[in-house]
Amino acid sequence: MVGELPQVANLKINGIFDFDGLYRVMHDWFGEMKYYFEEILYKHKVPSPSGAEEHIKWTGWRKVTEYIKFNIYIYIILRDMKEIEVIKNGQKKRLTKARMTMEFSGNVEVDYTNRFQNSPFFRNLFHFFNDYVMKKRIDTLYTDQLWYRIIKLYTVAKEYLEFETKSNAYYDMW
Amino acid sequence: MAERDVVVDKMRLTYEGLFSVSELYKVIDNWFREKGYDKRERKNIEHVTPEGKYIEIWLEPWKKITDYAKNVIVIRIIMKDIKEVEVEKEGVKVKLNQGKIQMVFDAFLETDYENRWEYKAGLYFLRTLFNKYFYKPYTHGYQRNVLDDVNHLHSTIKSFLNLYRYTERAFTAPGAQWPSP
Repeated sequence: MVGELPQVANLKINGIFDFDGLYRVMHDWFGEMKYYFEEILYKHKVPSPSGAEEHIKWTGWRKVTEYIKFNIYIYIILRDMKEIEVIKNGQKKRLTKARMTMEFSGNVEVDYTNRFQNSPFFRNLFHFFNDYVMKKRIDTLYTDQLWYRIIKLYTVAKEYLEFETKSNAYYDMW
Repeated sequence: MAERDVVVDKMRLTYEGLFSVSELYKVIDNWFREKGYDKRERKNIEHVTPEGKYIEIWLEPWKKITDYAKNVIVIRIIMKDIKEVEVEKEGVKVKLNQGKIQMVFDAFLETDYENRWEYKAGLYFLRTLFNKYFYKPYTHGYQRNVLDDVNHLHSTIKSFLNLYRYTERAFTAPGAQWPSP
């Protein structure tokens, strides 16, 4: 049983950037925030003359309580991808030239151990518990917390890619 | 589905000249934070083109007023031909941007956003009846608040951009050298 969030943010870039560095920075963020990181998809299509295409899906999850679990999903699509070598500050660096889209979403998973799913009585109790007892708490505390965690990860990506709009006025939320 | 009343329909703001992209974004982001809106950035695109950067941002922050109604403001910003330039401001060299901005503002009052009144035909009928006859003064008040918010944001951005109109332009060609004193 999950409480889906709408898509939190969507980032697109067309140009030259350090994809390996971005991968490392975002992977480290999951570690620092104590999320388990899984790469559930890595699809590399046979390169065409315009470049390769890659589809990557990441999941980060964390148990918040015995009943609540946070899931963060990131879907990355790279098109017309080519590895290029540039000289930056007198040093050779391998960068990526591509069109990249990153979609950030997530959900708050409740009863992830399926304790309430064993009998019809407990299933009904589960609905009552979620809809009346826990509803406010899930909405205001957990969903809000997850939302701003994802915004923080999104800001990390924007900062690394040196976006002009990399600031975040909500930096102190959660 | 929740119901959306259109309060502001495609209010526009255009500007061409000097400004700072990052400062403009900060002004908008801070304004939403101060007014208690939750952040949602549906799209943020940056392309590097030969004429300069192309930046497109689609913001959709919202604020819950009650369990039944919430404000939603949608801003679409397109910035074209954004170049980095150096200008002199009170004797100090400052890095700014030059380019074109187009902004479109829309605002909505979203009612029954948790879809509580849609499960059954009877509830849906009741909701329509209540919205039309009993709840009207409240929804009118909420709509006025959204409108005030959009007008305030519009004038905040306008006055922020107007500040740059009077900046002394030292030179605008990218890659040009700063003149020696």
